[in-house]
Amino acid sequence: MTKNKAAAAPEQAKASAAEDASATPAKTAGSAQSKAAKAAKGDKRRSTDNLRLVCGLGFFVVVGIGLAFNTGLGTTDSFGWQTIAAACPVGAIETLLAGGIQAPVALVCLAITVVLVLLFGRAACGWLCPVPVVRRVFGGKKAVAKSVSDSKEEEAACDAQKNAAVKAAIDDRRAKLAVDTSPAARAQIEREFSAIIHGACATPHCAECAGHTTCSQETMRVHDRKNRIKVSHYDTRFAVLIGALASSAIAGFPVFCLVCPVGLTVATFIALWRFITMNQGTWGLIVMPVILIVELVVLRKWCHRLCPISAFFSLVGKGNKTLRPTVDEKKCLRLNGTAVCNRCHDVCPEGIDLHDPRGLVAPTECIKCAACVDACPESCITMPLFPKRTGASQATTLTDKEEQCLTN
Amino acid sequence: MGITRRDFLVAGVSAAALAACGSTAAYAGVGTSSLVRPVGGQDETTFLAGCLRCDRCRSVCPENVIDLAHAEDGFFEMRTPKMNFHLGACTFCNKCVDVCPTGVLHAIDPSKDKLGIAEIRPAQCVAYRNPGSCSKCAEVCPYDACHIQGGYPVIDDDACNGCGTCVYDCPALVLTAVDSTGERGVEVVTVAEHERG
Repeated sequence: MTKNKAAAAPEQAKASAAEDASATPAKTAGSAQSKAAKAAKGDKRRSTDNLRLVCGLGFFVVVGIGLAFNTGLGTTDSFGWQTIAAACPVGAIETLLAGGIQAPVALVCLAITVVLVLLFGRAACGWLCPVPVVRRVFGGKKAVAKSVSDSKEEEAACDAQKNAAVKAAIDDRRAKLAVDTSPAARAQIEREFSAIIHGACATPHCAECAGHTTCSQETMRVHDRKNRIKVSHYDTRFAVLIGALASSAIAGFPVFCLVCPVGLTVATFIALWRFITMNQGTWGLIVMPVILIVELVVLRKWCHRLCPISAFFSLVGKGNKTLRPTVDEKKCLRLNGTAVCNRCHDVCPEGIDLHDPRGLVAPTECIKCAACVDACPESCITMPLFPKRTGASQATTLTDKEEQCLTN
Repeated sequence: MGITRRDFLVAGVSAAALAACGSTAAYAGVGTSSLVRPVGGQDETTFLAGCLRCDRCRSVCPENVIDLAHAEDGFFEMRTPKMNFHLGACTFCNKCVDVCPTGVLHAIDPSKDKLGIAEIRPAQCVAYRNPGSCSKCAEVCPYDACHIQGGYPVIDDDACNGCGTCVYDCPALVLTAVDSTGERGVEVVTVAEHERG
């Protein structure tokens, strides 16, 4: 389903670009076509993707250097220099609950991790975690294809609805603009279009806005916040997180660490290293990969459905404001009414819809993989270090005015 | 997306699996293993409660004496650090203590506290085959805890702190292809195991 969707998107973009060609002056048509061509080429631009692979493999190199030269830098479970390290948050909290914390340094290590998550969000999932690297190296790209929701039908239906609404709005705007060209009318048409395009999910979020599409974007957003459909961003990962912490507290030792695929991957690497360099054979060389295979191959949706570390990152990452993918509304083909382009949503491994922050997946689930940045045919998605206040989509953050309006 | 029945099932099963894992471990007696732990990790229960299995102590050890417990040492102990005196001996440099993120390893006083206690293994000891032929352990002991009496090595339990220098230098069974099996003429065991006899 997802694959079909991904394949269909560029065609769709092309088709509407062709329509564009017949309806608008030649200049726009030419650029729209080249845009569509660029959209089709999007797949080949995977530079960030490769960079991520290199980064993930680089981590193994660092672990390897540690093995060879006793650097003590550590592994993904706890990485740092001398006493200062970023400890695995789940492991650290588990030991805290199990009563194993013997020194305040543990809290410092935990705090460092929390600060890093606030700074970089879930970037560790996309850039450091060895699990996707192992999957990609051994399982090819298919294995890392997105597997966000098991309600794929739900997702696809919502997408289809949205796309239809956007298409209708685009056609409507074009038709109206062709008839009426006075500046005042134009402004009105653009306002209406903007209102629809930003609330494009076909579900009527807001009764107040539903009747009149002339609501300003801002009011609509405020209304929407008031009446938003309750979308749960707490999935099964959080249950696993709670289970891991509770069982550790009861059993008196970090239980999840036993089966943690991150730890097991690194441990397998270390065991292999010691097997090769020191002739140290152990059953662990079989036991650990078997657990890994069960977790990553049998339970394919580990990262999105079960991983408690990812749950922790999502939880703390809600406070992350930096490096968020931001859409330039003027350039975005969908938001400026050129085409029903959905490339960024299609390539996102987390299933985030940048056009609709009220989508099924919260924007804070971003793993900073920059797949959307690479895929955008207009190159209009950026990941600014600090969220921009002007010119770009502010949909994810409420302005002061909105906040005020909401509290009233 | 809302919580579906399937989500509920996945959550329930995984939480149950973790709970089962934890209770099995508790039932199997986690904290009773007889592994010699790095500096300060001598109380096994506290040690296991606080060990993240992060590998930093093993990585930083300049003597290579810290090894990772293997599947053979018990599933619940797997990946925790243990002392392998066939690979080195502890100098109490405390580098492992410095890097431990939970502080479960802590500095000890080598003149009073013990990692473990060395025990002579007569079946492997060269001196036991031919009295007086070897006195390596007594020569290398940095704490003067090993003496040759009547041609046989004898360990002074009070002076020995389990640093493992004697084990590392023991000439018996050094040429094995696979280092994780077999015993040398002298081996360090935990204090608890030594007392059990």
